[in-house]
Amino acid sequence: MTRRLLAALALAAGLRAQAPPLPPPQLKTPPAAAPARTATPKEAVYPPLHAVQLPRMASVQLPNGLKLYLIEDHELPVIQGAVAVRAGGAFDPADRPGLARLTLHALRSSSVTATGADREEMLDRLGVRMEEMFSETSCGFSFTAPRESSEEVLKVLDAMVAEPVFQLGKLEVAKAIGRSVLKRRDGNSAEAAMREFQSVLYGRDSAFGRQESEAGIAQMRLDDVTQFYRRYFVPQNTALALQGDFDPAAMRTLVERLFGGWTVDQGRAAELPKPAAAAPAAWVIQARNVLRVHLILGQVGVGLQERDAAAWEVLATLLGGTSHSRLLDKIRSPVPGDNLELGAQWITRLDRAGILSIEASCAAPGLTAVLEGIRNEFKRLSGTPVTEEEARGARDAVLAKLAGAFDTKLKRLNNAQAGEMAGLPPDWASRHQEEVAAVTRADLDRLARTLDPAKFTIVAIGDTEDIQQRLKAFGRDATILAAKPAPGAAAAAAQPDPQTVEQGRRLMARAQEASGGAAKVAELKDATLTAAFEQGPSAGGGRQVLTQRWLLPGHFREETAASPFAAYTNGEAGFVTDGIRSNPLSGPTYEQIHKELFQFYPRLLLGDALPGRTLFAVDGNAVELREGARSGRLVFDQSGLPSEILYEVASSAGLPVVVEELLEDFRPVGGVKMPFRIRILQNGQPASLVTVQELKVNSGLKVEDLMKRQ
Amino acid sequence: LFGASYAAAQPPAAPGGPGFAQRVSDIAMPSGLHLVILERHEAPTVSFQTYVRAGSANVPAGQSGLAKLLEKLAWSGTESIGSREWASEKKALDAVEEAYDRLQAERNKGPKADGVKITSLGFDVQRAAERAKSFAKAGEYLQSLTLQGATGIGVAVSADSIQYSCTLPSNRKELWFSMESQRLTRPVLRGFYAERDSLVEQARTRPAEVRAADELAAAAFPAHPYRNPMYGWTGDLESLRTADLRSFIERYFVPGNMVVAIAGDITPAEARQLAEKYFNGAAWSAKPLPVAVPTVDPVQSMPRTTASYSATAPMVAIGYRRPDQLNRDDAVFDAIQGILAGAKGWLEQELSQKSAIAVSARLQAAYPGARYPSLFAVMVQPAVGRSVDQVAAGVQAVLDRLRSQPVDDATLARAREYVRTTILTALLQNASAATLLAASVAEYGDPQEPIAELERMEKLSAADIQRVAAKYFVPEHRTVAYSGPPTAPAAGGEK
Repeated sequence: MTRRLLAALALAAGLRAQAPPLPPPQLKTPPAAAPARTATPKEAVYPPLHAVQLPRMASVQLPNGLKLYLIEDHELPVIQGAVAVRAGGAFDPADRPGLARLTLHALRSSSVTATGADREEMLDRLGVRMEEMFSETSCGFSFTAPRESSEEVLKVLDAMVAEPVFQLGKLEVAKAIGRSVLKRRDGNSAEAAMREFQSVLYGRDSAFGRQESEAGIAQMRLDDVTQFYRRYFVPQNTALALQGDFDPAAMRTLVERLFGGWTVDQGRAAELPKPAAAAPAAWVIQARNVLRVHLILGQVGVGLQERDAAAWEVLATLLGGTSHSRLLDKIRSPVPGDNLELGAQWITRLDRAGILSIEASCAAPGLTAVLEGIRNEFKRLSGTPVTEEEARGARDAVLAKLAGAFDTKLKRLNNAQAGEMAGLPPDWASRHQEEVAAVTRADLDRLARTLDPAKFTIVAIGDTEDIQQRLKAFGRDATILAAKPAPGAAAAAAQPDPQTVEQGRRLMARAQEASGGAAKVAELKDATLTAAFEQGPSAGGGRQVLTQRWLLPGHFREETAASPFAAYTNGEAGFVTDGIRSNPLSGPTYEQIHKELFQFYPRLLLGDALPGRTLFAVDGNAVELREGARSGRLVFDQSGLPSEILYEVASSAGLPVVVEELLEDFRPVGGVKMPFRIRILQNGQPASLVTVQELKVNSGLKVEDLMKRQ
Repeated sequence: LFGASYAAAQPPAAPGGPGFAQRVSDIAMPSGLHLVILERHEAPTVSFQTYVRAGSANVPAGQSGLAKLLEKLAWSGTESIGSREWASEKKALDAVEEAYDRLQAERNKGPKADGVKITSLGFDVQRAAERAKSFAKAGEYLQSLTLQGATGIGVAVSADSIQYSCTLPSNRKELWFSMESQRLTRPVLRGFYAERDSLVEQARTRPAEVRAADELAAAAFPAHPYRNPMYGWTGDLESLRTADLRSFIERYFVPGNMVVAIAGDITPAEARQLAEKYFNGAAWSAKPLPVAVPTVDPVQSMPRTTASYSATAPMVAIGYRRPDQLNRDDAVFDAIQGILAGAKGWLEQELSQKSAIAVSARLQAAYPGARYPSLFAVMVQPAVGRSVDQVAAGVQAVLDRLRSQPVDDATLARAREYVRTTILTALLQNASAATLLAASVAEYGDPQEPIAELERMEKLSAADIQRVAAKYFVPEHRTVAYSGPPTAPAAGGEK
């Protein structure tokens, strides 16, 4: 059965993508006359659409202030829910845009266990699907779980939201992922333009216009996340909605038992800043691809409960929301073969004004014609009345889209909860449907006359100077957005100062003490380590046994038991040999060997006793070690022993990857505790495992031993 | 059975609303067509799934590829939708067939055929097709739906079934009935030969995994039509005619061989009334049901291997004989899939992560179909330097773990949750719920089959898994197929 279903769904999904693309929207006449029995789709008059029924959101407030909504629903043996905290992007501190989102990411991986992967595995085992929810004004998690997993999933939610244990390693991973997302987003003109557009609409420095940056995220510290969490993640600021196959009284008892102990009180959370539209402006941004232009025009409109919100939505759809809408019908790119994309939409926000946006993507030389076309369509719109057929088509399209936005229990639950938080009436969805259905041609004509493209905010991405000239001809002076300084971890890295250097020394000394005593550590002169390196599939798979030998200060040799291959460095330069020929170290092998040397545990433990090393404390009970261009962090556990080595590499695609080496199974060697098992995670995912087979120290290694060529 | 289940009075409103069982009705129309309704009135949308009990296993000999071609022509339209002027278009389409008849007649002369004449007759066919195309409105059928807010329009062809899906705002439900009734039984197969030829090209460039899977089926089923590849045998597809497809439709698209599942904002009474209004006329009258495939494969008692050349990446497909879906062990295979499949499943863990035999390993619990005895199949992309024998031994070793001892409680729980979550997630959304309900009635004769499977999972034990694994995952019932470059080591050697 399951297999049959999976196969059917997979097939359907695959083929949907293959379905023939819609023909260009020239088709305006109704279909040819049909046999008597069948009314043609366009001629048919359809009955009004039924109302959306949102779940009734009767809430109870627990003694700790948590708002709880319980909706009994016995259709299927499942439980669905959402925990929402009033703390979204608009609550970011002015100098920390992106902190709210990062905090949410960090919550997901916060865990008392050593790897956050354990929690994901548990959710997987319980059949729980959990998603992050994030908006400007709130954030949280929503989930679907089998009834049997109800208690477990609520325990996980409670652990994440009410008593997270933030860890430096997990935070670094969350930061790396956040930066990767931004990097990809910046590479996508449509997304970058939309982000910039909203930013300009509200003002770049406003709560709703501030933008996250890679460098900004790289700078964020564990303290920032902890503070943000403490400020906003309090029960008084949180709502938990549950819907499903449970007895409400029993569920309430369960929630009280689990969440009742969460009793932090920060007073009332800060009020949400009021978003205000900034003066219209035109901005141009340089893109890597200068052959195309991505353009957005528009303005901030009215709120969902204000008069005309529904009419604006219908008007936007009439303009460019369906395949036969006005913009798509009339505007053509003059560039042969240009795949012109055009559309208009009304972006609905439950808790603030909606936004009218018109988007176009065209070949660079086609921009002038597209701008002219848009202007002409606005002229036509304000000059000639909307036809009844057009109005009906647009209303129907809006209503169809609305129906789709409520077509699962979870969507309805999330919408009901969001409506609650935004202070909307409980039946806001069906009210909105009625308002859309009641929009008249007169409403549309009236609104159309108020539109003036000259007052639109414009954002365009492409070849800046070319766009600037074309916009000038269109009557708009556009400002070129200055290129952002190249972001990167280096620019954002923490810098040592006397205080953190002193603190770092203390932490390191404590680690040496916990390892068996500073004196014992100071005696370390050489080490020979034989270990099995097993790589996960993401790293290519495979297993090999390697022997690494190190001699003070930076002599290092690595060889495999199975082949005559060996590599040596003196810390600066070296060679690689296959037993017959030798070559100087270079390229990836050079990088690899020096990385291994830098992370070689016995040497790492020496701290800044080694020449050329800088050591200072960073947040989260950790020190940063720098040696030349290399840097890494050593995180300590409560006993003071190192528990984790943390560093960053770049993936082949140039995206940041955080590597966590979890140090485990400590055993004494020469009086010093050393890890015999190292689990390596890349961006939180298990990548490889190192199992030490033998480790000897101070066995009197000589440089000649390490430099042998066969 | 007629009308039995929905004629009952509305159940009293209980706190928490009606359960799934009360929301489902199975209506048998006098024609034999089954309508399955899942009532959900909370949002005004409705999802449709049409399930035809016929697939690539049902095409006549010499016409393999026919079912897949139906997928390409699913939305080619009807007499009233998709035509500029039907009378002229009909004439033009007939002219295409006549031109093709002449071409065929010349080809049939065999060695005495005139090559020049064949070329010229081929041009005649093309010209006739171009002319017919000028009377057509390409894409009008789909556009008529999407302009009315349709989403999730899809078609899927398998060895056992052809399925169509569509979601509409619920006030457009009548539109679906009117369009679907024409499309299913009286489609106009516009652009038949162009679509056929594009499918030939698609078949030629099919991915390595599909090639290996085709090899597997051809070797594992000596007689049963499950051996026929979805894209057809070389030569079959190229020779298909419009009349072949038409007679396939006449034979299999009969009411008693179809199920329509509808999930969303619709009542059983409405659905029945619309079905009576539109699914009527000669095409929708009760007709004899097509005969089930009678062929039974000889019993396999030795391992089989096969290998074929392909310039694509090497792939190994391994199949173990398994019974059909109505067998009591069917649910256990689903649970085993939950243990073996996925990134955290045993196959990936063992073959890719631990022993580095494979780059990837995928699983299909019943391949290519399930209505007849088929295969429990594993598709493996071997790691560089790994031989077919190593892959086969690696897969067998994983399965032997299931055979030699009962799985631990955590693994059993994982298997259960996999099946349960798959079903529950599907039932939560109207479109996938309709897919599931249509298959339940068409293949199991019971709309409550998903719920029954949930209950079966409650009772599933580690002993069940061990018993089924021990019974079926034996080398004697195994077929190993390799497809890839000939340079791969030891292709086809069974030791």
